[in-house]
Amino acid sequence: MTTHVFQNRWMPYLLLLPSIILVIVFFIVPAVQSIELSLYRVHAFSGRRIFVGLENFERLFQSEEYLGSVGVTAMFVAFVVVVGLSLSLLLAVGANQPIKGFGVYRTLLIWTYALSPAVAGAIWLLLTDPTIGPLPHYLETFGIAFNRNTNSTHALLFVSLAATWKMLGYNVVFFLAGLRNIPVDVKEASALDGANAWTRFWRITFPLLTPTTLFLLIMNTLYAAFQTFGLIDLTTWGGPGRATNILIYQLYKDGFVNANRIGSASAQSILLLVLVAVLTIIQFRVVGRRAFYQ
Amino acid sequence: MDGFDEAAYDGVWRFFQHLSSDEQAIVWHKGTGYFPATDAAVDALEAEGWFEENPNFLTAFEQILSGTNTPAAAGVLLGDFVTIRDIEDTAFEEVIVNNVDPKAALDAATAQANQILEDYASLIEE
Repeated sequence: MTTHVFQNRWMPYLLLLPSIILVIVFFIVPAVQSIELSLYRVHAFSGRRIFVGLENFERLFQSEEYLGSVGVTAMFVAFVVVVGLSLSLLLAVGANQPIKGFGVYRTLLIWTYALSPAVAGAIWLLLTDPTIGPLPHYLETFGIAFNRNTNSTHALLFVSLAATWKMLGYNVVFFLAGLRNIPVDVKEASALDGANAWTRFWRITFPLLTPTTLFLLIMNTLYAAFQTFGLIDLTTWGGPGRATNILIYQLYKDGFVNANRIGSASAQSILLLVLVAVLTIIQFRVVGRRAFYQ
Repeated sequence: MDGFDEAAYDGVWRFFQHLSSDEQAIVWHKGTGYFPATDAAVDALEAEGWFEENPNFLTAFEQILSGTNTPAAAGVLLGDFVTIRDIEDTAFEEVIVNNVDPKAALDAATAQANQILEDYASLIEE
């Protein structure tokens, strides 16, 4: 394979320039401004600023509201990741069977990802409506009074389910692709050696899926931490009594609704970034070391 | 609000002068039924007999004048009202939904609201 060299010395930089400009304008500059803003107390409409140093951060760590939000986000992310990946793996394995209509099932399984968060929120809002929703109605036969408006746990469960449901399509696509990349002869060889389907799955298929699993782990964490704002804003607005007040929603409230806390909101965005970055690094270390790349 | 040139500020000032002039106040009152902005406009309306022909427009005046003038009747005069309302509402929700002790929840809300008021005061003092 021959490598080609640009004749013009400046051509590569010129071609990269649009992307670099976009990254600088839309990522680097706002990030730097955010770091700068987090050191100030800001008045929303006159732009007056008072330098307060790390006071925003100190207040966050001492505020019960923020720490509660961290707890809620942890539970929310854990649910979305664990339940989402497990369910998606189950569905992907099921859709991978050599059955009639495999293509149809595959397409139908993907469509949850094609929905916007607003539509997904509206669907689950109607499904779980205490008065007219089918879900509370059927749960009543088991004696469970499911009410997302008055019960904190039910509200958190509701948004977790909606967020997980939305990502099912995405996860299934990647798991299906990963499953189809597993060479059949490895499975056949293990079957010849006397392994049953359960052993075959957990000893052969699942380890070979770990690169996909790691990727989906990280993508689902990022989704649950950052991209579920629309869902919360449409359905529970932070939940009955802060029950679904995830970090990104608390950030939005402080920055845009309660407009005089922009400094605190900037501090929260930095903390959220650090939190998710640490989580991602941990995932890379723990799972990445065990990921089996062929 | 900063950073505009003199002509723009001059225009803004003259626009507000126009808005609060007596003729405009009368037009506004006749069109919407709200109070005219100036006492002189009220006097002019009385002089031309508007209130005899349309006694229904007097109702708003009489209602206000028959009320009391205590701090409680002055309405909510809070800096950063939205934040404080949000804190209060959340405290009520916590008490009702999660059965938090009411005094504890409202005390915490008071502490937070006081903090917000202090921040607000520090931001707007000259």
